[in-house]
Amino acid sequence: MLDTTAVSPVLRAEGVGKQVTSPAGTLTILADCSLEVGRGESLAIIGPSGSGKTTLLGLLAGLDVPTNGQIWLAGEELTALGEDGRARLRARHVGFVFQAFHLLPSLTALENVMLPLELAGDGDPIGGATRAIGAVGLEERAEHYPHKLSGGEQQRVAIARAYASRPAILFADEPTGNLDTASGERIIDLLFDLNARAGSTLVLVTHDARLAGRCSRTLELEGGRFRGQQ
Amino acid sequence: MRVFRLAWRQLRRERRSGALTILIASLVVAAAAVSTVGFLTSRVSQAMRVAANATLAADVDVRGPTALPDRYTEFAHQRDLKTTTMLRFPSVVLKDDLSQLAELHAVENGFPLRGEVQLSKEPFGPAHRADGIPAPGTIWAAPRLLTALRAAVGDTVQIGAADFRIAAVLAYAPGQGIDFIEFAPNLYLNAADLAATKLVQPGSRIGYHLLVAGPPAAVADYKTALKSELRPSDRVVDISDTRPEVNDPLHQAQSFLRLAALVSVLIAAVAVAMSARQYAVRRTDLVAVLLTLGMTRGRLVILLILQLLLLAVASAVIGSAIGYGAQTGLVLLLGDALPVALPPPGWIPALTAFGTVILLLAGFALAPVLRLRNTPPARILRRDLGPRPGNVLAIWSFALAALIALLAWQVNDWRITLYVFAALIGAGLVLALGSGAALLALRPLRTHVGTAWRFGLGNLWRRGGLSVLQVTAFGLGLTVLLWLTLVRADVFRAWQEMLPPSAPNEFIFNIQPAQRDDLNDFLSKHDLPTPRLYPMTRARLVGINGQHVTAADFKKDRARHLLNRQANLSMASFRRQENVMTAGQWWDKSDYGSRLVSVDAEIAQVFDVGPGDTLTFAISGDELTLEIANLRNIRWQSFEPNFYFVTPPGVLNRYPTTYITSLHLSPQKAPLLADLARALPGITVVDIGAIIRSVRQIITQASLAVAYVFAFTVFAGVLVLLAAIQATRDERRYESALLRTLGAGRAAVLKGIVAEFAMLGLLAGGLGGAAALGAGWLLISQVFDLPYHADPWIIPAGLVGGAIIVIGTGVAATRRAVNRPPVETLTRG
Repeated sequence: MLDTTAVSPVLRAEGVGKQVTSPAGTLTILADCSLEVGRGESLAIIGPSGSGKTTLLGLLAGLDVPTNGQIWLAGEELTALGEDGRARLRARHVGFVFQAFHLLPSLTALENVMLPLELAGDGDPIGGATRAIGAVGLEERAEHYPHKLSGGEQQRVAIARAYASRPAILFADEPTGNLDTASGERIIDLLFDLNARAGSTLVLVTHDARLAGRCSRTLELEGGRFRGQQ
Repeated sequence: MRVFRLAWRQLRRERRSGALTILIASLVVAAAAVSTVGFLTSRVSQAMRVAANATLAADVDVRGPTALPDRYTEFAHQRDLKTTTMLRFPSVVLKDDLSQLAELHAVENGFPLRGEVQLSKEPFGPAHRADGIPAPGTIWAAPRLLTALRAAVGDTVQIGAADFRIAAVLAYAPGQGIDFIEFAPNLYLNAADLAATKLVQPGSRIGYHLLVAGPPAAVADYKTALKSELRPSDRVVDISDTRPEVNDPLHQAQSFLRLAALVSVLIAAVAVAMSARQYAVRRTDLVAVLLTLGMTRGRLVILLILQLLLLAVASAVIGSAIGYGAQTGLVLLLGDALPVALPPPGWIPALTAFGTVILLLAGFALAPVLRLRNTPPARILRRDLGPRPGNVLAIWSFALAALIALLAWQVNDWRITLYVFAALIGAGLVLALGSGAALLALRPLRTHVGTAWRFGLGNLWRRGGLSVLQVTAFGLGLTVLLWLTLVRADVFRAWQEMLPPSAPNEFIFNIQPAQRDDLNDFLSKHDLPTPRLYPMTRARLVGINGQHVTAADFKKDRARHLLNRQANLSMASFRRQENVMTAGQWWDKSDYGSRLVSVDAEIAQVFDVGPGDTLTFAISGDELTLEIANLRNIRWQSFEPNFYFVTPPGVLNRYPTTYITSLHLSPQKAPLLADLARALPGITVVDIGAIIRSVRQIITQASLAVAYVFAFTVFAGVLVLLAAIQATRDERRYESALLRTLGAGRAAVLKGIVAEFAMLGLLAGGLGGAAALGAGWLLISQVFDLPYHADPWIIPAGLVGGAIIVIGTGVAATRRAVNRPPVETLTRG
């Protein structure tokens, strides 16, 4: 049993498991995963394909609900919230960076960055987004649509979007997976630089040993379970 | 056979794919629309024809001046048609010292084959349906005969060498309305009594009639077979030869129904094109796998075509079943409004539905599906590889050819086809250009709206081409709906205006010049308005441009018919407003007394004459040559007396003239007719209320049937919208999941979708309304030849209707996308 009276962590998971039921029977993807991540910490979750990394990330970010166990994010119990409640929590506290960038093609770079600010009810979404896009060095490209940007540029817009609302915690899913080595390096630098400046917590899932090496902590998943925690 | 099994299995596996569902649904809607109208028109038009034929007492009336050859009857019996004969001739009827010329009808059992005879106990008294024909030794007599002979039911009269008892007053008999300008009142007797009268002698002026009725196909076959066998002296008459006013709305109603179905098919074609493209795109991976595994492209083509054929059969069967059910439902709905029990529908409409589906697939689905054969197998390694883009020209020419074939096949009327085609192309252009321009013009709006709207509108701009296509396709559906609403309103308004409840229901003939004042006095004494009296002179057309003509000089039935009988010349100082001039000038005062004539445009066409040509008429032993001054289109639906030939005042003064008029009598005032007949001996009163009722009934039926067929147009329009949504389904799922990952609630995502569809709906509705106004003008004023009332309410109606339908359909169809769990963003690469 963890001590909840201590300085409360930004993210805590306890006994989290995920099973899916199919006609072929019940498949366990994750079993009994517990972890705690403190403010300003950076955690890398690594593991082979199919080990359950992405599923765990989805559960920790409240994108999906676990079959069993509990998760607390920014002091609120995620597992007790409904779909829209979790969406509101994400809007207030969570930022995302994805392997496939996931920018909305109908919006310009700036508008993509404005999106989380508007969803969080920020008073000056244009100002905030302009600052964030400046922080990733893309002021010149602010009015461009995603399909006019290179992969590296798209990921920088995605990072600007992730940090624009100053989230307490940022989840990244293979952020360099779709980039060449040079672009990947720049993205890693940018990610850690912004994370340090914002004082936010970073949880990332990766195959990339260099990326994992930059994190303060690494957890390895295998067959849906953590292998020797810490 | 293996290919067949493979084709079937693949289709079964893909049945859950949205694109296939919409493709099938579009084909089903087209097949259902065509077959509903097919089943319905074949049944209702048969029924309407039966109702209209009731005025003829048969479907076909074969007439001749001498006893008709037996082969006419044999032909009918060979085709299982019912027959009965009738002899018609004028004869004097005597009672005591009074006599009156009457038109005798000697009828046999079975008369009438269509319609019914109505009898009453006293002149113009309440009528009831006659049972059979007059019993031997008895007659049925028209009121005017009784008035003239001062006779009543039960009295005995003498006809030729025999005595007859008057069994009933003849209130209405079918066949009576055909040449109702008869000088003699009608009398019906049993043909078995004819010999006793000794009236049928060599040289007697007798009309021999063979009445024939039965299934339309057999009747048509009979008419064809008879044509070559007909003696020169004989004529075959059916409803289309007799009463233009019954025939015209019948024809228009059918054109209108077919048009409504055709429009549903055209809109469904848009949905077929869109969903077939989607279906093909979704199958690209499967095709790449098949090719990689060694399937030859030839076999692939067979497989693809086989699958389209399977789709065609399934859709045609389902569509025809729906069509059959729909028309059965409509028949139940119409119930008492139908004049007689409807004959059962044939199989032809189901075949028509299959043909329509095949045409739709060939024109709108074949090209994108066959394009799959160009899929590079390497797509299995690199997903960005797709089939080579198809030849745009080929795709469009396929579609265009199918479209033209469909129009030509279904409309049977090139004039309407061309106008509809022009209207649809025009509407399509308005929608495409209008929506493209509107999207550009509204672009600056995005910085002034909230997230949801920016996202929704952003989608529209990003998918510019698809947005324009969606607006165009759905807008076209709305255009047609609004257009048909306009047309329907105007056509029915026109019909209503021509047939107000106060439309004349009584015609009065044979008013002598000296009786005009008596008639007016009588009418004003009974608080009836003074009607317009039209002078009428009996004449026979005997010459054209100085050449003597007879019926034998012409091949056209219509011309022969006109030359064989007396025509009526009238006189008028002014042109009646509803009759439109098509050539030449109407006369003014200076032309009064000049030997000019205004001719019905159709008659002019029959004789191939125009302004400047001359017509010579024989009138009471004299010949009168008149120069054609102008041509007019006569509107028979007005039920006012109309004349093929009209002269300026002063030309016919020296010839014997009687007057004709029409007036409206309410049922309460109907008994006045008996008094009128007594007050003005010699006049003929014909009750055309029955004909008016039959025209009204046809109009009511047509309007119900058309409204019913509109439902398919709506379905087709919605399918276009669904096909468009289906095309963007994957994108929408992804965007919705992403928005929710970033913290947007379900409501916010929904707002964006509503914004997008609202914009689409408003554009489609507004532009569609505007296009409908233009198309409505084209169809109403150019095709239906009616005054056009541009109804500006069509545009707000389009805006509201468009927004409601598009938002409703759009939200319903994308609901699943909104509910997509956000975790999908992680699993999609």
